Amino acid sequence: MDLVDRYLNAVGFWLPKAQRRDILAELSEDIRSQVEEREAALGRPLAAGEMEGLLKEKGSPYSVAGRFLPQRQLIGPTLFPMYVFVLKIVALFYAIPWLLVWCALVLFVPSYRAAHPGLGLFGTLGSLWTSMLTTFAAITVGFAVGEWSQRRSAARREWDPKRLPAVRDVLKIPRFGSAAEILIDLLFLAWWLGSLPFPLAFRTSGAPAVFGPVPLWIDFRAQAYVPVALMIVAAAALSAFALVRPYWTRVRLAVRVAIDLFVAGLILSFLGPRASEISTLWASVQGAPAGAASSTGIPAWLGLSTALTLGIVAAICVAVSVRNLIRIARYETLRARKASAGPSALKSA
Amino acid sequence: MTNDQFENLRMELRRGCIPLAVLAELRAEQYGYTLRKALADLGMAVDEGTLYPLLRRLESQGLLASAWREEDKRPKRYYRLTSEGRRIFDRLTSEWQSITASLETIFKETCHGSR
Repeated sequence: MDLVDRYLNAVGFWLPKAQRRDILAELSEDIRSQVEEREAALGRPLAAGEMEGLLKEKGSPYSVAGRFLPQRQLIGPTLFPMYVFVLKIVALFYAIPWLLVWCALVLFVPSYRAAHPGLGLFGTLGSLWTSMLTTFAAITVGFAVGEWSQRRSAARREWDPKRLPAVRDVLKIPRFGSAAEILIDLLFLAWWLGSLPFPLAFRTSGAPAVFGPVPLWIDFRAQAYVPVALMIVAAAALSAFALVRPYWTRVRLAVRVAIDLFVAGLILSFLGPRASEISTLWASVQGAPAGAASSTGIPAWLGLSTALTLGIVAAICVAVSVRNLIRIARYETLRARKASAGPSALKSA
Repeated sequence: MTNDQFENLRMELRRGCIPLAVLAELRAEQYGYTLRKALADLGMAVDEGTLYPLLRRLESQGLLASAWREEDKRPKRYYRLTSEGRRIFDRLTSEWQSITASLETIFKETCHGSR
């Protein structure tokens, strides 16, 4: 019975002290009764292997003890979908942009690569890893507290069906969004064609100093003046059409993809050959004293910001295009899903 | 994979019936091992990792009462149904009969529908 005692001792390790003696006495009685019964049937004491087999049938000490403990969850099934949703949002809007910026630095800024040779380049990802771990831990703790307080409140019973969100149709184009897009496109077009002044001003030592566009922006505008203007007109026309027919079709999605990819291509074809110019700006910014607002530092920062902004615009255009290409590929499924989720489907059921 | 799915669903189906079977058996006083044996002999095998926590839960809910007694020089914990347990058992039995009657009807309707 030495093995049984060791087994019970191992089970007892995981049990709360207040119930340990009671539970172990009952388990002990059960196991010993079972052993006696088997021995009586065999007409001999159980062999070591048979005893091991009997205990194995009962499960590991940890799992046996676990069944006597109350079920505990850090985040329960009610909050878990929301927890996963928040983690995805954080990954989408924090980790992915961070990685894109890191990729851009590695690909287009030679001085960045030079400053972090070899595997040191991946070492720079360390801060992302640390901040992601901290963020995920903070979110987990937040949801665990939410779970704890939810168990103690009756708030979950006070939900109002009238406040349920409408079924989302990804193929529907909100008219408000189309109207806002037309307005933004027209304002941008006016600015792009030079009808609106360049809205950038800087004040040093009391006297206002107005900065014009940086050389990088002047070059981009000169190179892409007509194509960008045409793309804005095309995008505005597409939005105007969406005001009348607010639903994505495959053709309109394809036009949108073509516009976005064309703009992304324009930007990348402009930035690519200027990688060395951008890395020079980066080097001059890094060489300047921290926080310095010198006459040479600020144009370098502005040039770098312009390059970064153009890069972000290109990345957004590519991301939106990928999303729209997926919509084109899944078009029939998305239409069918909307049809099956709509009120008409309920009526016909 | 199909066998696993069947096994999971079978376990789920049986799990809901175990408390009712335990309450039914404890209309007469028994201790853990004999209760487990009796259930197994009647085709409702329950492992001790499920039975003993369930007995504790039912006792904490006031449906069972227990007492330690020495038998064959070994302490044994005997369980029996309380009056509250008896009332709950009667209600659960009615519910069980209602469920089985409903299922019978559903099965028959499904058979007719598939013809």
